[in-house]
Amino acid sequence: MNSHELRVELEKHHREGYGWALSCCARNPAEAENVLQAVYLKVLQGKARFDGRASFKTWLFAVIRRTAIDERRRQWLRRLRMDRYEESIGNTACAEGADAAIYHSEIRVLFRRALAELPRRQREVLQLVFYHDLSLAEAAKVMEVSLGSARTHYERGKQRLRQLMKGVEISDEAGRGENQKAVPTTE
Amino acid sequence: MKQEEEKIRKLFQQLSEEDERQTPSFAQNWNAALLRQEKRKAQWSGWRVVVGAALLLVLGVGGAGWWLYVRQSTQQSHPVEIANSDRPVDGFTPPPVSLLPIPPSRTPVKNAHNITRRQRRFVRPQPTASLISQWRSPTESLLHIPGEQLFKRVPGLDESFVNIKATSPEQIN
Repeated sequence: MNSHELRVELEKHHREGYGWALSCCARNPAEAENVLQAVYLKVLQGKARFDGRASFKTWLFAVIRRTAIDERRRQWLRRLRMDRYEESIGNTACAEGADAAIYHSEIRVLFRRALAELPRRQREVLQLVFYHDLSLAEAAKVMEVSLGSARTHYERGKQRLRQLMKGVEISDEAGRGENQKAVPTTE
Repeated sequence: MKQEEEKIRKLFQQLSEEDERQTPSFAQNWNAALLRQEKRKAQWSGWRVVVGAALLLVLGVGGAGWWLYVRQSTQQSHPVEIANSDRPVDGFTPPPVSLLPIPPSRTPVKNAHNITRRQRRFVRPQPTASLISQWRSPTESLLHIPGEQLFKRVPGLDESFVNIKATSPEQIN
């Protein structure tokens, strides 16, 4: 795959990539954008190469996930060095502002909170299956775990989400997607 | 079960729609990545210059050190005197100056360095070699007493005690 083809593919998956990056960065838009840029940089430098073993989407998501983990680690180290007070002020201001601007609906806020409360693996598998329409096998590849492990995380995640979202009624306004899989396939 | 999955799917779809609205353009991110790449290239070339200079400096210092070491060792590889008496004794002729024999070797160039090192180790203390006949005990004076000769010989009839001048061992000698 030459650089032009690579660019076209990346552009095609940009929106989904951003969604996945958001999920990997605890829904912080600035961090997600930073991760996405780092991923593109890796592709440009040839540090991340698509070898065709999996689908392009699966490969890209795996790269995004790994980059997000690296970035998180780097930020953690940076935070250790920086003044904690300054850091906390900056973060809360950003998060509060994003909340107010983006999530008007109470249900959305509740769902976001519920997602944040889920363990990372469970959140990842649910996001990959329900948000990005990946099969469990593909999700397992992205998460670099076995299929059995991914299935366990999936079931536990659903169960935990049900407990957290107990009594919440969801309106049909968002359920417009026609080509959705009811049950995630393993293939 | 399906109902529950549908419910989750709807929630995720709402989330997806929200995300879609705030997704930055691809061109913007791609250009930012390109800019980062340029920046890193510049940084890297700067680092390369620094590392190269440091490497050259280390090599230069190391080379100079090595050259000095080799020069010193070749200077000291000349034959060395083993014994040398500072104070020649009367009636004693010191033996002729001997040279350290250099054993023949198959690889003379390689072994020359080893010989030099061995010689240096041998010569380093350089004690002043004195003859055994000259040696005197530091406590020798304790064996002598003043007026010792009075006990050793009987004075003559015409010799008074006052005439016997030597009373100490040094005066006797």
